[in-house]
Amino acid sequence: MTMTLLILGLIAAANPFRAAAAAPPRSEPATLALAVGGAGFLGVLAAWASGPLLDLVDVSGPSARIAAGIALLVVAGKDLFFKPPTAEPSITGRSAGLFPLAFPVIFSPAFAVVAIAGASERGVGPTTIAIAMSLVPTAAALAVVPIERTRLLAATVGAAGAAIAALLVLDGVYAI
Amino acid sequence: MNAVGRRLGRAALSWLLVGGVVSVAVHPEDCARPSDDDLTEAAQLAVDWFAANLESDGRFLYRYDRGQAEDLGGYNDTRHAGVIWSLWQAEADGFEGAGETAEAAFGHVEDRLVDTVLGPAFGTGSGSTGLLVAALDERRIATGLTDRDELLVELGHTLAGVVNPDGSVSADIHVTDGPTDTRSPFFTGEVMWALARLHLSFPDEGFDAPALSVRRYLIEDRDEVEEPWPPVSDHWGAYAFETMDRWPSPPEITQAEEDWRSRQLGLFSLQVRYESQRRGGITRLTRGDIALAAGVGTLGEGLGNHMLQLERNGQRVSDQGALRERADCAAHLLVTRQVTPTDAAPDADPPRTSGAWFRARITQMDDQQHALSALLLLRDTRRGEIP
Repeated sequence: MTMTLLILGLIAAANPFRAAAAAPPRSEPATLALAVGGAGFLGVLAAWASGPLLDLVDVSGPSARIAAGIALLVVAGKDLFFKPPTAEPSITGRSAGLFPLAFPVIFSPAFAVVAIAGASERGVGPTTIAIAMSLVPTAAALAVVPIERTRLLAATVGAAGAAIAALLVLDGVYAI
Repeated sequence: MNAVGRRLGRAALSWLLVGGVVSVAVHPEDCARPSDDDLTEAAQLAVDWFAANLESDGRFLYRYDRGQAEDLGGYNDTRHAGVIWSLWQAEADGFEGAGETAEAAFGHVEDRLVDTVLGPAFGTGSGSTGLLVAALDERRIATGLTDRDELLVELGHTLAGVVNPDGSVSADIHVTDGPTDTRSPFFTGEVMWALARLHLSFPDEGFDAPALSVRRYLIEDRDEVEEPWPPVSDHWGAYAFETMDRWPSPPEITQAEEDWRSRQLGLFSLQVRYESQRRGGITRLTRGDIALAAGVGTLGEGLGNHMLQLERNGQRVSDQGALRERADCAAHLLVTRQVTPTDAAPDADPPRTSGAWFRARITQMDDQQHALSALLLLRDTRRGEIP
């Protein structure tokens, strides 16, 4: 898995426009920072746990990439064919950045599995960098994209995510 | 439950759903690193199986049903030659009884040697002749005996004769008309390997030219001409490449060959990972029954040969850890699936089953042959015994 594929996979898994759709109207910057930071923290946690976790479930690195592709395919399919999530119900105040924004909207199951697979292939450090880079578009979308435009944009990222998922699966299938 | 709680519940459900889909696609892999003693013991049990199942005419028990305790008959000369080669390979590694069994099995070869217009052949297949060459050459290495060198060189010239001008290999030899217009997914690699071995043992006989011709065809044309589907994971080709790499002047690896090797390594590794997910129970529904031990053995053989060559030349260093994991996994699958003497004790005829590998209660002698060769090869790669 190249760094590019890893970053693209994480972006598609986070889907910035799905996140923007679920952002509370007129959110404070602190709420949005909590969302991105919280999801990033969970992603790094997943990457850090990658080795022991894959050992625990007896899954090799290449198979983890196949798993990442499958998980992304499911999540991308949901983005493509279903309405994005809404802001409500949520925890009130800034904590809405944590729930539902950080989890489960941004830190989706696909985000977790892609981070795990990425760390098993490229290591925790590079994956942490990839997570940080992948959340930049999400932060930008949360800040500037109006909710009414998010459905089409989220579906577009979903379509791209399906293609990226296929690449991840192939990467795992053809790997040593 | 309030609205936030319900949303949390839906989120948990969606994680479970994705986890469920992923777990159907990716299963836990039954992989471990068997000890050197495990490999040695399993190989000795396989050698013992051949010794116990050698018949008076020099043939082995070919196919056996463990459930019915029944000899299912049939025979195959290519596999017979393969068994003799594996036994000499074991003899060279010091396994007890391997050489005596291989020598006794030569009786069947003598009965089946045919004079063709190209020269002597074992049966009428180029593959059986190719593996016989490998067996006799291995005997030469294991014992230092040269009494069959004349036959060996003659067989080599027969093989050179089945190599067509484009480098393809005729699968069959007609006694009077010579090579026929037939192809086999495995004989091409077998013949290339035999010729490659002969060039090492008899460097002045000109076996390098036909070997190189087959090599070019295998890499550049075979897939297009023969259209094998699914793609062939070519363990015999791997043997041939590893052997050619030990020539005094080994051919340089071209980009096309490197690409082929990458595809082959991917195929072998994928198959090991897939096979290791066949853990019985519900995986029978998603992965099917376990593969033949012959098939698992060829995965170990392919990986082992490529590993030897890569390690010798310090190539693809970053892949060698993963390759070692896959090779260990293939060895683990073989070791854990073999019938031990304890497992065989309650059987109706324990010598038929002890040391063998079964799928759906059936074993065939090439299950033992490929498994034995893979175990020996992986044992050697592990010891760093690079020839």
